[in-house]
Amino acid sequence: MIKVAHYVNQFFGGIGGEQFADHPFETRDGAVGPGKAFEMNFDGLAEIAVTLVCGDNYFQYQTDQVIESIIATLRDTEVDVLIAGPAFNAGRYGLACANVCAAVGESLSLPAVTGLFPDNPAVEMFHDRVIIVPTKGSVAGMRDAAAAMAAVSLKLARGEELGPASVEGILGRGIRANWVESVPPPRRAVDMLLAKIAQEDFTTEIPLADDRELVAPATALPDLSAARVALVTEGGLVPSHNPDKIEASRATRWASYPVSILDAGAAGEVTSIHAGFDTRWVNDDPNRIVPVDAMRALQADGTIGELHDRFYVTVGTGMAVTTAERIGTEIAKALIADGVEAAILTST
Amino acid sequence: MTSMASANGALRILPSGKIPHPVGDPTRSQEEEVVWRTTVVRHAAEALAEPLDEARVFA
Repeated sequence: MIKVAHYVNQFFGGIGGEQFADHPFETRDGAVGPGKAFEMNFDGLAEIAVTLVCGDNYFQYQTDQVIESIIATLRDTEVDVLIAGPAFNAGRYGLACANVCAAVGESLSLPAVTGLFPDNPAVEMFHDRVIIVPTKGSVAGMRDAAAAMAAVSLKLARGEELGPASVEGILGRGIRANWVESVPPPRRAVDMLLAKIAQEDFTTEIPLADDRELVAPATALPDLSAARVALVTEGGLVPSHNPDKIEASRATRWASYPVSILDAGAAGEVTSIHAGFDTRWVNDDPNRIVPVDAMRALQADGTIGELHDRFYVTVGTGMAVTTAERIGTEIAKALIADGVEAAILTST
Repeated sequence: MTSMASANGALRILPSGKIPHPVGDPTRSQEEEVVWRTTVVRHAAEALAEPLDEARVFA
């Protein structure tokens, strides 16, 4: 008979609601609350030997102490697997469940599984360390969660290897494992391509992380002829001594300089420090990367209201996307503070 | 590089010179180059006043 430990909070432990969130850690013999649903799903193969109950607040305030108590309890009461929750979308409870699973794994090498709604903040923090069954957002999902978690917990208790997350019905942990596919790669690739051409569903074998947010287009300028426009570049054009020490590649810094340093005769006093392109042409004539002459002409003929008197520069080569987002935001704030309404960004 | 720009979220995109000189054309004489550059940058400026809902390459 497989023995299971079950972690629950004060509510599922039958103590009470939010007003009992400070309830200290305690243990109970056998199954409590949702533990009974798990036992139904175990179909006689497993039983809950001990239920670990802790108030959601108490766990947050006394995490180390509670974890120590849990580990001590599980050294005394031998179990084969631990189940935590399911916590659905509850923040504190989810954190507690994930924490407990991680701790028993690290300290006792005890396999564990919890159930969390994919948006639960605990998922982002623990998905690489803890086996998580995705659940609905509320206790309405208890029946499905209990069935799914029971199945996974039995596998873990038996020491069975888990297959790919999508097959096992758990959230991906970012673990790569190799296996030999029976269908050869050219056939799989062609099948995928044919599906894509026919606009049918297909599953990529290499998902590329794409959690960028879409940026809404800025409103068009209502009157270009009255607008103050700035020049921005990732072309690394800086005063020759690179006073702000912008890096030639994988830059983390940006700076702004007066456009007057680019007026006629500037070649020689400015240089491009960009390591990603052949800089000879822009060093010969910096207007080829920061087109001050063209912008002055557009100001003179009334196309634009005014060229902003500073230009903004960084080096784009090898720049991490998150760095680019930060630098773009910082430059935008500086431009807005200076009354700039639009910018032309030149890029190599 | 315009497809990379649109794939990464740029909204108003103007293809212009070459990578080592995005607003330069060393094949032209200096005077012609300035005229060419002013035209390119004018198009860029005009794009700033162009309302749009999604990324556009202003060819």
